[in-house]
Amino acid sequence: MLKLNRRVATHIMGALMVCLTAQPAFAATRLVYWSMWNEAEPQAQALKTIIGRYEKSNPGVTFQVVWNGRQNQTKVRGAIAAGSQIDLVDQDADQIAAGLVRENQAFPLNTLFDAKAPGDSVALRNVLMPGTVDLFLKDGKPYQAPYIYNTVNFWYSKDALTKIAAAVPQSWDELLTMCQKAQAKKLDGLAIESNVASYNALYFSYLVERLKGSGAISRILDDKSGAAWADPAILAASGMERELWDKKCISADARGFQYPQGQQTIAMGETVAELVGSWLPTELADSAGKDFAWGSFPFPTVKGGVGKATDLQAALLSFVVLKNSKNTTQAIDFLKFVLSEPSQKTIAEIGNVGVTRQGVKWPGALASAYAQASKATALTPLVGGMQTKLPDFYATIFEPLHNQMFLGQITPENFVKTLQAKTKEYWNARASGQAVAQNQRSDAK
Amino acid sequence: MMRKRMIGLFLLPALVFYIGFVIAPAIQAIVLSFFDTSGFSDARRFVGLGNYAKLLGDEVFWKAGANTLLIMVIGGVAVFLLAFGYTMMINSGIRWRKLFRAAIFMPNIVAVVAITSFWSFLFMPRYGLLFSLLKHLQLDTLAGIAWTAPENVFWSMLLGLVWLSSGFFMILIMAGADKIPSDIYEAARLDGAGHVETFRHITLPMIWDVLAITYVLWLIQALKTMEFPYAFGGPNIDSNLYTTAIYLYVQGFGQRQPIYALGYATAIGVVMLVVTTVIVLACRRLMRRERLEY
Repeated sequence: MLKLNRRVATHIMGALMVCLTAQPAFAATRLVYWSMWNEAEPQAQALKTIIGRYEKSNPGVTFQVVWNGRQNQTKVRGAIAAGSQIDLVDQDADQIAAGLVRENQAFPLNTLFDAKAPGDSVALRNVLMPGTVDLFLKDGKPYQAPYIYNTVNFWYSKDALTKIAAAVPQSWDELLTMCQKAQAKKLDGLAIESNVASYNALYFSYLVERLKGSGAISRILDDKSGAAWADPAILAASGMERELWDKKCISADARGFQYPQGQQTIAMGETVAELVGSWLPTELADSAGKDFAWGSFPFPTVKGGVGKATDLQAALLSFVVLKNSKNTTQAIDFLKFVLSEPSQKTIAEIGNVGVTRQGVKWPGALASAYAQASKATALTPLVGGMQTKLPDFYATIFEPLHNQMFLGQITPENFVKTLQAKTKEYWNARASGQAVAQNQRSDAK
Repeated sequence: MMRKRMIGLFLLPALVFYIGFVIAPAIQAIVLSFFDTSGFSDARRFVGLGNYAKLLGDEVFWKAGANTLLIMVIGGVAVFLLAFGYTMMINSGIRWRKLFRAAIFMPNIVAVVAITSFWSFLFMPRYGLLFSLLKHLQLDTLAGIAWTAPENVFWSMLLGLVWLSSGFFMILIMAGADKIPSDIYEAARLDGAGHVETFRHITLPMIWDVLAITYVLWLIQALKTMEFPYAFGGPNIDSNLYTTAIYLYVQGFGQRQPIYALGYATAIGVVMLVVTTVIVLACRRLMRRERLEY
């Protein structure tokens, strides 16, 4: 009897063990996601839809979402320091690279990109837009899952371009010609925001990359002596920026344009184009109207430069899984779901943004940007990665100095000379002088 | 003895909160300023006075400091001149005194972001109110000035800040002036004193204590100025509008630029604390006068 009971008990224990181990992998899991979106934003609505679908197809998995808005990473920092458990965070890829990833708070995502998303037959790294997975590698590992794609290029009004009877510029000289034609029709060629120094720095970074090739900015930043700024291409790029003002491509009163006044002039039909991210059509949707015909063209090539028109600066938005998450497997599984075709379509359609998965149609106004992203031969982050690589150098030295030059307060010669001296000073003053060992460029294969 | 113990007992909760929420964090901040830390983890590297040494060579910090000083001095003079002017005007016996007082104070009850949006619109090139007015008056040269261009944007912002602050300080000054017995003014008027003399020889000396406190309040407010220039400069604030408080925020909180230099930002905060204390003490000492009894 006792023997039988023992056998029964063993079987019961065995059955219990099987039951326990055979539970669905994500039973009773709560994923905590801190979001860069405000709940009312269309991108948040898209993510809510995706989360709802994921919860439905994975019973037992629930989400706790905190809609923090753009200060998300800063709030996450406080939460991490306080010991809060967060699984997923999203933010601008540049900011994540210089924040969570740089500070070793992110979990490597190799398994994500080696895996297949639901419905796919190939690994995720093969279905995402060229260069996006590798753009922010750290020590050879990906830590970010980019899910929204913003291109940085010239955005223009097709009607205005037709009005001035100009072709889409392919080279710097053609851009200047477009400006001349705009002037002849009493329009401004290009709009700027004088107070958005990072937009203005796009001209410099793109010109340097067109002259010296993609990744040139990052290479210059590696030089701690400051001598790399003495490269004739730097002065040439600065001179070309000033040429835009001298040739009245940009109107003189634009020196006083405070964001978003410059871009509004495009919606009002007074300016042809602006060098900015692909978020512009969305930002101007109300003032420009639904029927506004948007176009975009890549930053043009320059005479004698080695950079290609297909080398692109991208402003990606990414998810990261936090290192201290206790649900890394589940979180990565969710990211696979986010990068699957149906989810990416939802983000593009509801969120009205470009996405990172190839073959998913971007909203109508962004169609030209999709073409550029798909054909990109090399990617760099905003401003050639300067903000990501040396954020304090960029914010306290480069950006103010560059804006002074761009807006005509100092000469290009003075700019270059000061930049050399300041770079040297910066590195001398920096006790632990190592730049972030992260990619600042990816070859788009 | 019992009474003293009771007083101590009643003060204890306030003291505990004050130590817990003001003194202890201030000490912690001072300690943190000697470290290089991003705040993402407990990892920190002791740098001694390194953050303070770095501040000495940081041009943006000095520019932010200079802007703060300009707000304090030029802005202060303008705010108090305006506040005095308003006080004189309203106390001169004009009709609708309360209406004027309310109108001048009103900007203080409107959200700063709304006020700054108005000021930004005022100075906007091409479409702004000022541009339209100057064009209408055929003052084309003045209309052609970009008031928000880098060389002018700080002064345009300061004008708005002065306008906003003067109403608040007028109310404080008026509260002091209202306590002055009216028979003193009547006697002065009978002796032939005009508005300016009355203000100079009666109002000013008799509200000196109020003025001293008000000025200290302005200094503290000026040193902490953040919201108005930040909102005026928009989400991508131009470094020409930086104050030390804004620069602290930019360095420590990863706004727009992903800089998370928490130790460095804390050093800026400590410098601000020291400067505020020194300036307030100096101001109190300079403005100390024998109290007038009336």
